[in-house]
Amino acid sequence: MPHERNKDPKNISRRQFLRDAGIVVGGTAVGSAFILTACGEEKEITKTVTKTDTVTTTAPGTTVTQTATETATKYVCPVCNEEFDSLDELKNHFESEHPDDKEIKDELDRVVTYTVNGHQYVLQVDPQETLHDVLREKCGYLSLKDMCTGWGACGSCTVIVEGKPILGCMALAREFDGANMETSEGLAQKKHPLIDTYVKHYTMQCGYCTPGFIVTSKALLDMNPNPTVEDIRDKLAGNLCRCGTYPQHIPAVQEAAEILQQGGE
Amino acid sequence: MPEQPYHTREEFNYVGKAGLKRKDGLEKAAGTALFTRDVYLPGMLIAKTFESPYAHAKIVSMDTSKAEAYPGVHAVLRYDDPELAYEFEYPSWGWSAQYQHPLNQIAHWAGCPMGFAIAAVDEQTVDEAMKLVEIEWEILPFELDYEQSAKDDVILEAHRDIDTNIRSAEGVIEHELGDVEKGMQEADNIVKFTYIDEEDTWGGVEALSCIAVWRGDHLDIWVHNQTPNPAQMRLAGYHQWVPVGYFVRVAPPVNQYTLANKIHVHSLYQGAQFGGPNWNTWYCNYPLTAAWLAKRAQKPVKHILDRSHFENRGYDEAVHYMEVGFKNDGTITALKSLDYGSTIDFPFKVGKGTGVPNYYDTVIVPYVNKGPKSCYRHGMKECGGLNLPYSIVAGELGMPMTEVALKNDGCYGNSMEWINENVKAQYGWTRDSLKEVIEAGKEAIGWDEKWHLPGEKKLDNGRYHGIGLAFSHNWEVDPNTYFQPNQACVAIQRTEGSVKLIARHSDGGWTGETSYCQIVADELGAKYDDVEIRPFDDVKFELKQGMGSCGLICSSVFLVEAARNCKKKLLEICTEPTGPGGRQIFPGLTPDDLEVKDSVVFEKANPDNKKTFYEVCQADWQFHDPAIGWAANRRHGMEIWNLLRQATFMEVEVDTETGEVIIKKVVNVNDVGKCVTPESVKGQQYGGSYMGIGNSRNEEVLYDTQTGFQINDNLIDYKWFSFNDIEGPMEQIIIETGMGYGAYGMSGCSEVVGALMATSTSDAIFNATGKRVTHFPTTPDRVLKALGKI
Ligand code: FES
Ligand code: FES
Repeated sequence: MPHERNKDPKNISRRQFLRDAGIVVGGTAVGSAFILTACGEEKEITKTVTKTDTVTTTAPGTTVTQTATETATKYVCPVCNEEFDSLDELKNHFESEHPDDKEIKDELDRVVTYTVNGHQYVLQVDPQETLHDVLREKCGYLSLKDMCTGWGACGSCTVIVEGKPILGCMALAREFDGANMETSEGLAQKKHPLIDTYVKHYTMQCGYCTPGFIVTSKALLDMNPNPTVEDIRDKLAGNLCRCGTYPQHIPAVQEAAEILQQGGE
Repeated sequence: MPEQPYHTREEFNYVGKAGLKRKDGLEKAAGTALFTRDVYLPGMLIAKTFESPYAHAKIVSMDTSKAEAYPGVHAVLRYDDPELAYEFEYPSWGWSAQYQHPLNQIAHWAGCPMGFAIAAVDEQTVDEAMKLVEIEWEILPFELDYEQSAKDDVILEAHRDIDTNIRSAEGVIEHELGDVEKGMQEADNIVKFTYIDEEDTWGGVEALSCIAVWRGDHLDIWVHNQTPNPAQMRLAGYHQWVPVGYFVRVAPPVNQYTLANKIHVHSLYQGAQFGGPNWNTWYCNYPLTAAWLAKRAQKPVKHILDRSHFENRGYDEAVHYMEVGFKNDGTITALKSLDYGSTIDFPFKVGKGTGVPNYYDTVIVPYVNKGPKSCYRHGMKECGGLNLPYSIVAGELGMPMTEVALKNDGCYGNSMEWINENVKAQYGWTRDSLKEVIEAGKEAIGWDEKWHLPGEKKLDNGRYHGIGLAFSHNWEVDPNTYFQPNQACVAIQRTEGSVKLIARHSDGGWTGETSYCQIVADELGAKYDDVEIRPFDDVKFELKQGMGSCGLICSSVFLVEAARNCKKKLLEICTEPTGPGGRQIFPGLTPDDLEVKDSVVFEKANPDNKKTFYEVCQADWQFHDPAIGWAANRRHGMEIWNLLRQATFMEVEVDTETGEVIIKKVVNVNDVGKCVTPESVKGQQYGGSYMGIGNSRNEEVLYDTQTGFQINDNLIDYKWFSFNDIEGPMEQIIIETGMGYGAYGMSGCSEVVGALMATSTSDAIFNATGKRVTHFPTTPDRVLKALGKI
C-alpha cells in the first residue's frame, strides 16, 4: 500500500511499486511487469515473453499444423536491459556488473519471488515485513490469520513452505525468496479432500483458526499419509482454537487420509 | 392453558437432522470467509487509540501538535474534541460503568485505551506519531482487589463524587427468598466456606477492529461486534438501556444529517466473540472513534485494537462467603452468601434452578482498576453458587452428589412436587429433566461402578481416582424481555424461486445460518439447499442470534412465524383470482387444498397437480404479490420456569505429589428441549468443555502489583487448553424434553457447558482426595494447598 511519508525520492525504500494494486492485492502475478523505482526513476524489471512453436506433422494424405504457445518471465537488468531467466541470475549479474549502483542494488535486494498455490509473485518486501503480512496484504491470501497478533503462539498464520508448516508471523518475508507455498485457498482450489472432510465433520465453529489447522493437517498428511490419533493430536497441538473444535479434527484428518490413500483428490 | 404458539410441529424434514452440509463450511475451510480484520479498502488509513501507561491517572494537559504534523498522519481525535464533548455516563448493567467515553481523560486501568486516537497511512506511522504526544499526568492511587476496594478509604477517581468505591448504579444488592434465618434454624448442619474465582479474560481469537468510510452523508461501518443493531444506534447517538431493551438518546449522532438510516453496519463473520465485548460499554463505543476519524480524514479508517483479547476480562471474578444449612437426609434448608465482585449476576441464576426455599444474598460491586468485565461463555459463579453448596452437603453426608441434586431440584424455591402440580400440569409437560439428564450421564460415565467415598480409590499409578458432577438449569432469555427489537423476512425470489432469508445476523460459530435455514425449509416446505441467508449486510432486519445468549432460541420463534407467513402468502398467490389476462395458478382450488414440500406446491388430493416454486414465480408474476413473510419478536405473556437441566460428569486422576489433575473422561448431558442441528449442539458441548476447563484449571490474569499491569497478556503466557490438555474422551448426550420457550420447545446450552466445568472438576477432586478446592482456577498449587502439602 502507498506510504506517503516516504514521498521524498531519496527516501524511497518503503514504497510499494505495483501496477496492479487492487483492494488487497499488492503482488504481481506473472503476466504484468514488476516496476522497480530507484533514483526517482521507474524501471520494469520483469517482462513476459511468449514463445510460439509451430509443429507440422505429415501423414499419408494429411498435413497437420499445431501451434504451442508458452509464456515465461524474463528478469531485466534495470541498468543494461540484459535479460535473465531468474531473479537470482539478475541479482548475480547486478552484483558483478554494476557494483557501484548501490541504490538500485538495495532496491533489487528487496525483490523476492514466491510461488503461492501455483501462482508466481514478484514482490518487493521490507526487511521487517513478515511472511504473514506480505501474503495477506500484498498477495491477498486472507486465510492467514493473526489470532495471537504475532506472538507465535496460535498457529492461525500457518502456511506451508516447501512442504513444511511454518508460522507466517514468525518468518521474515525476505528470507523466502524463490519458495513454494501453499495456503488453504490453494487447497480448496485444487479440491484437497481436507476441505470437504472439515466441512462434513463440522470441524469449525467461528472459523478463524480453521485455515491454520487445515494447512497444518495437509503438511501432516504429506509427511505421514496414515497418521494415528496420537500423531494428529501431536502435530496439531501447536494450533489453538478458542471455540474448542479439537475433537473434530481427528475424524476430518483421518477421513481425508483414507480418501487420499484410495487415490482420491 | 397458556399459549404455546410455536411448539406445534411434530414432523421435521430438516430440523434435528444430522449430516446436512453447513452453510458457512466451505468458505471457512477455504479461508475465504471474511472477518472484520480482513477488510481492506483502497486508501484506507490505520488508526489506534492510545493506551494508558498507568493503572489510574488523569490527563492534566496534552499536546498533540507534533503528532498532527507528522508526515503520514491524517487525523487526530482527542478526549476534549467537540465531537466527543458529551457525557457517556449511563447505566451499563454493572459491567463497565466506570469506563465508557471512547477517549476518556482518565485511565481506569493499566493499558486502557484512552486520551487520543491517531489515523495515519500505516500502523508504524501511527506508533511513531503516538510517541510525539506530550501528556502531563496526575497519577492516582489504584486498587486491584474488590473486597479491599469496598473497604478502602482512598476513593477512586471514577467515584470521587460519592464517598465510597461501591458503584452507584448497582452498589449493594440484596436478594432474598423465603426466610434464611428460619431455614438455618431448621437445619441439622451448617457449613461455612469461601469460594473464590480469579479473573480470566476473553482471549478472543480475532482482535477487535472497526472500519469506517463516509460516502456523502452515508456512513458504512464494518465492526467486529455481535450486536450490529445497537452499534448502529450508538453511532446515531443513542445508548441501549440494558436489560429492558430501550434506546436512550444521549449524544448527537455521528451523522449530523440523519439518524440511523444512513448508517450502515456490516457484521461479517466474528472470530470467537462469545458475547462479551458487545456488553462492555467502551467496546460498544469505540466505533465512534473510527467514524469521527474517517470523517475528519475523509478517507476510510480501520481502527485496530490488538490488545483487546486481554483487555476484556471475564465477569466471574469474585469472592463469595457462603453458608449452607441442611438436614441429615440431604435436604438443603437455606443458602446465604456475601459476594464481592464485578457483577450482580450471581443471585439471578441460582434461584432459577433450585428448590432451596430460603436464600439471602448480598452482592457488593465496587470499582477496581482492572479491565472491563463481561460474559464470555462465562457463568461459573452462578453454577458455583449452586453446585459447591450441593457438593459440600453431599460430602458432609457421604452421599453421591447425584442424590443431593435430585433431592433439592426445583425452581425459585419451589419443589419439583409443586412444579409438577402447578406448572407442568398447566403446560401439559410430563418429563423430569434432571432425572433424565442424571440417568443418562450416570450410565455414560459408569457412575454406579465408579463412585466411591472420598479419597478411597488409589490407583496402581499412584494417583487418586475421582468422579464428580455439576448441573444447572437451562439458560434461556425470557421471551418477555427481549433485549432488542428483532425481525426477519422470508422471501421466495421471483426471479428463480429460491428462498432467501433476509436478515442481518452476526455469526460467531454456532452454525446459525444452517439452523435458520433448516427451520425455514421445514416451515415453508422448501428444500434445505434452496434456502440461503447471507447475513452481512444491513438489511434493517436483525436476528437475535449473536446478540447475546440464546440467540437461536429467541430468533427461532419469529423465524417460524415469518416462514409460516411466507407459506400462507405463497398458497394465496397460487389460488387467488388474477386481473385481466392473468390465470389462477391452481384453478378452482383454495389454499386449504394445497400443500408444500421440497419446494413444490401440490394439490393434496392429487399430488400430480403440482408446480415448483420456480413455476409458481414464473406464472403470471405480473399479476401477483411476491411470496414474502415477515415477523418480529413480541412479548408472549408467558410465565417462565426454567425446567430443563444440564449436567457435566467428570472423571479425574489426581497426582497428590504434584497437584496435577488429569481429566480422564467428560460426559456432557444437555436437555436442549429440541435440537435443530445436532453437530452444532455437540460443538457447543465439547467446545464449551475445552474453554471451561481451560478457564477453571489454567486461566488467570496475573498482575504486577506495583504497576497494575497484566503480566501475562499474550497467548504464550496466558494458556488456553489445547489439543493435548484433555487426556480422556468426551461424550456428548443430547436430551429433548421440549420444555423450553423457543420454537418447538427448544432451549440453549452453549454457555452452561463451559460454566459447569469448574465445579464438576472440583467435585471430582474432592471425590479423589477428600479435600475440597474452592479457589479457581484449580492450579496444581491450589490442589497441593488443599491437601495441606504447601
Ligand atoms: S499469529 Fe502467528 S502464531 Fe499466532
Ligand atoms: S473455530 Fe473459532 S477459534 Fe477455532
